[in-house]
Amino acid sequence: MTTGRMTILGPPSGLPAPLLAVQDVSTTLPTAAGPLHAVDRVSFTLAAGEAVGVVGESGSGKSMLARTVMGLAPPAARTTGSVRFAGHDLLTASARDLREVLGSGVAMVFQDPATALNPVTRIGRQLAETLRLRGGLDRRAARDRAVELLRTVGIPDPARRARSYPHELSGGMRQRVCIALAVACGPRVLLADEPTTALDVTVQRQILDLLADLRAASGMGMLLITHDLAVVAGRTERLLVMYAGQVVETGPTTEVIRAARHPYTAALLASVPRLEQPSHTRLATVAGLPATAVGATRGCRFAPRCPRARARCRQEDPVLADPRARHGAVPGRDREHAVACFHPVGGGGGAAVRDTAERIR
Amino acid sequence: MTTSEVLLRVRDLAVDYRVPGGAPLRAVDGVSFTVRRGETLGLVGESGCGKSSTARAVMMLRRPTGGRIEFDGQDLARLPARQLRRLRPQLQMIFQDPASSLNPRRTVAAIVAEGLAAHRHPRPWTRLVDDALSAVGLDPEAVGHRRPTELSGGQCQRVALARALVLAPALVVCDEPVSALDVSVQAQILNLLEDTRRRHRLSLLFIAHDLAVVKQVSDRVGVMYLGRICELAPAEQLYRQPRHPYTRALLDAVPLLEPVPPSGAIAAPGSIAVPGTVPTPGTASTPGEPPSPLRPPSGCRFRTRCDRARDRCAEETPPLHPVTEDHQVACHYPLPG
Ligand SMILES: Nc1ncnc2c1ncn2[C@@H]1O[C@H](COP(=O)(O)OP(=O)(O)OP(=O)(O)O)[C@@H](O)[C@H]1O
Ligand SMILES: Nc1ncnc2c1ncn2[C@@H]1O[C@H](COP(=O)(O)OP(=O)(O)OP(=O)(O)O)[C@@H](O)[C@H]1O
Ligand code: SF4
Ligand code: SF4
Ligand SMILES: [Mg+2]
Ligand SMILES: [Mg+2]
Repeated sequence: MTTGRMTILGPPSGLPAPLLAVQDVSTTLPTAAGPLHAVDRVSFTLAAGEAVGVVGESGSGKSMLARTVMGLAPPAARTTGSVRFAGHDLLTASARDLREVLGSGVAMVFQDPATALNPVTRIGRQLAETLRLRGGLDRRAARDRAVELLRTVGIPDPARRARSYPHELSGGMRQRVCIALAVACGPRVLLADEPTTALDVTVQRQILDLLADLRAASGMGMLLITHDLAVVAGRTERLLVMYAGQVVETGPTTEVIRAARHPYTAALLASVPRLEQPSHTRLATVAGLPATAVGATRGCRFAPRCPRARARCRQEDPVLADPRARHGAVPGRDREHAVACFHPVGGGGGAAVRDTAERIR
Repeated sequence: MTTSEVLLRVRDLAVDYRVPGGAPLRAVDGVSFTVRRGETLGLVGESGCGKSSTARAVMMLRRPTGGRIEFDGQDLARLPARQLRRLRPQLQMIFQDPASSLNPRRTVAAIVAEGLAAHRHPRPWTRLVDDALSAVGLDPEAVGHRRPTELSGGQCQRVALARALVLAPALVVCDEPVSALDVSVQAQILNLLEDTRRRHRLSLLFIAHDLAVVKQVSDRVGVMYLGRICELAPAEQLYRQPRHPYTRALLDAVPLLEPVPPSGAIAAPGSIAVPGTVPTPGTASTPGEPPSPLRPPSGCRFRTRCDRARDRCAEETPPLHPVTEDHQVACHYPLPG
């Protein structure tokens, strides 16, 4: 079940109690121009063994969402909502509880590997210390396990490499060391922020296979943040599409990709170069500049760039709803395909995407 | 191919770096290719395989250790400095990190004029600079006076392209020009490169590690592995029917937006039975990383990761040879065509 991109690991049917429940989470940062709504009323759940993908353009709030869930939003940030994990609310937990929870249950792979590694400690030692302090291994066992972990993430000659300092490794190797650190103590939830962006495709595949193995073997839940739509396509069961801090579309990954309903999702999909397209195929693009929400905003945040925008879009905030319900009146139930748009693109799958692509061009 | 069609001909290029203790590191080892007028040649390969080193040598940013770089019939590596300087405007380059390749203290207009100043182009430059900015979709009025820090990554990459175009080059070397950009911005820049190439009849040497991106813009594609080209073919052909096991492995590892079940086409019926190997194209495994370029494997450099490798692969270096017209492969046991 770990044979590359065909891996399908559905969440157990019958919706088990979620491992992690993120409810209405907002993160606001003070800026000179006013409060920046980096994360705006985001909700999702993560079940054991499940993988949820997060996509969206640069600055849409993907990393801030993960940091907030970890209780690691910048000190100046104001966070609201709740993040329930193992009986704790991570947003209100005491520093001590948080440390305990994070140590044993929730781990994160940071987008910038430099921030996660100690520059003056050999990588093997960093791993071994984590294993000793959090995993309760003795010195010797920790050292052996550290080497084993380095091997697992595809570091060649791991026993020797364990003696390297972070700066002696390539960017891709550092990223793999971070992954080894994050999974060292068998977390129940892994928040992986662009874990494979610096890696070549062959190594990327190895790492994604490894993460799939961990999910299957230990029921680890994973939030996979990436700007690479093809990576989430094969590796996650559900998807969150973020735009300017908000989730604008969510649902089963295959459904969102095959039958995107939000004009932004459709445009994003159409702009990806595909191997199966002939050379020199013109790519669809999203006109206008990426948006961030500062201060009070009104209406749909995608409206200035949306080819389908009409008057209502600029006056009312669209909320996540089941796209099949008329007039968008039914609030989107978790796990179902939901879209925050007054005029979603047709449900006809690829054709709808291409239709929008046509217009956006 | 007549000589006049060829703008750039690279022959047996070698690039060495001095490294502490011992022999130099040969980052590029006997690379040969041509770029025709108006054509885009793509170069792909894993990190560290020598793509940027090749690009820098072509740009004469670093004198090659060996080989020839014929631009418009003249060998750049042997050209006197003065003549090289005169040729320079025709060879331009854009880089991966748009922000750091632009001087943060200068205005956009001044950055675009840098090349004109360096090549003592007669003033006034305003018109040329404005035209170059407009050509890349930037409003000279709106951005001309801004500095790179006030622009987005995509806008910076447009400025870098304007700086190259203002000198009316014949060849633009693009080293990972979209790797640092968002998919939607990436699409804009790729479209822009295509338009520009067509409009100005440019040749592009386009380097990236994303196989889909390279296919998108290229007429022909070369695949590099550990300092050598292992396959070179028209883009459509290379992606449809790779002949080198490494190309196959790379393509297999690319995640797809809409995963398709493995098709019969990949199973390669009628493949030549190679005793002692498991000919399972489509599942070629490439465990681990490329070996160190300091101690490359003997013979075929891919043999340590190749599931078709046999004794001969360790003994003889497979030369890049044509398997069909325009399709070259460096492998003793290429995949069936
Ligand atoms: N420490 C910070 N202080 C203030 N604002 C910040 C901080 N970190 C991020 N931001 C802002 O918050 C918004 C969301 O940023 P975030 O890093 O979450 O984006 P992202 O979706 O992860 O983007 P990328 O794909 O580039 O990683 C952006 O507008 C960003 O400029
Ligand atoms: N200035 C240098 N000194 C020593 N070694 C170098 C230098 N520049 C590059 N190398 C080495 O030469 C080899 C080729 O590097 P190059 O930058 O050309 O690869 P690349 O294909 O562009 O990789 P990437 O995709 O990571 O940019 C690598 O092994 C690299 O470590
Ligand atoms: S709500 Fe209106 S502006 Fe927003 S995405 Fe839908 S159609 Fe476009
Ligand atoms: S020459 Fe041998 S080792 Fe090299 S790619 Fe061909 S079969 Fe594999
Ligand atoms: Mg981020
Ligand atoms: Mg490079």
